[in-house]
Amino acid sequence: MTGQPTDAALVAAARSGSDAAFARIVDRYQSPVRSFLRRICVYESDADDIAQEVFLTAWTRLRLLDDGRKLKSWLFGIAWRQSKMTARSMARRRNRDQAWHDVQDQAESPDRDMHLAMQQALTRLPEDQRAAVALCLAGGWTHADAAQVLEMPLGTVKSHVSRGRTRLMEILGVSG
Amino acid sequence: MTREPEQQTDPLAAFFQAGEVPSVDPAFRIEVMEAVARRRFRIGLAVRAAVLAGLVVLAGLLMPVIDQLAVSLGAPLLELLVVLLVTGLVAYAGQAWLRRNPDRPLLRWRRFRIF
Repeated sequence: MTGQPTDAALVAAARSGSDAAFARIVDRYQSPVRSFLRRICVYESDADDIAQEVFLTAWTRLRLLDDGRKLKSWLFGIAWRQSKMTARSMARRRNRDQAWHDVQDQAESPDRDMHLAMQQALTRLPEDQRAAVALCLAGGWTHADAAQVLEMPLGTVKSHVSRGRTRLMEILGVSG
Repeated sequence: MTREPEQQTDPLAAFFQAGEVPSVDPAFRIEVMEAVARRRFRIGLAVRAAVLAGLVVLAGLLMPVIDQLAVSLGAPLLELLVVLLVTGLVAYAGQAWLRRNPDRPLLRWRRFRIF
């Protein structure tokens, strides 16, 4: 029986120079990291560039990760810090990318409409609240894990999630 | 990191679901691995340049000692020393060529906590 290698095993292999192991780490976490970044970035087009930078930073700093089992939260922590850092430098490109999105949006599916509605609603939340909502409501993280990643007190995360949820439901016209 | 029970029936779930990125996107992985290869190349280049600069400085500092050694050894022994040095360098280069692997450099910088 051959199971999937654990995060700790992949981290150990990647640390000793295995590109294949690092590629598996990228495959394993690209979707949640990119989804998280798409939700917290005001402009979705920034998200994949930041995600690429997140994995590159992770490769460079892999030896600083004490416990390979914490890989997921470590990656999300990098993503959160990176998104805050690069938000300003990305600003210059926004007008150009927005023009591209305007073209894209004309021929999209109902799923895309829902996604765009959510994106627009998320941009109306403060940055910290948006990140807490993206992790806990969209990503299914526990409040405690999210607090660790976002480096916020547990109570603050709970409050952000609760207020963010209420605000999103108001904006989207959803009742729960 | 499990989903909390009260969030499973969240009316916002469908909105979030619509924005999920595909689980594996090979194009994204290729872009990341290309960026990793570029960074590794730049680090390797910087290390080689630093080592070369260090060797040049060291050679300059040791030159007076080498001069004195050459005089005290005499011509036959000096030739022997040069032959030994050149043989050593050729052997090292040959070994490096035979064991070349970008993932496993001959000098393991991690041992010295350099990279």
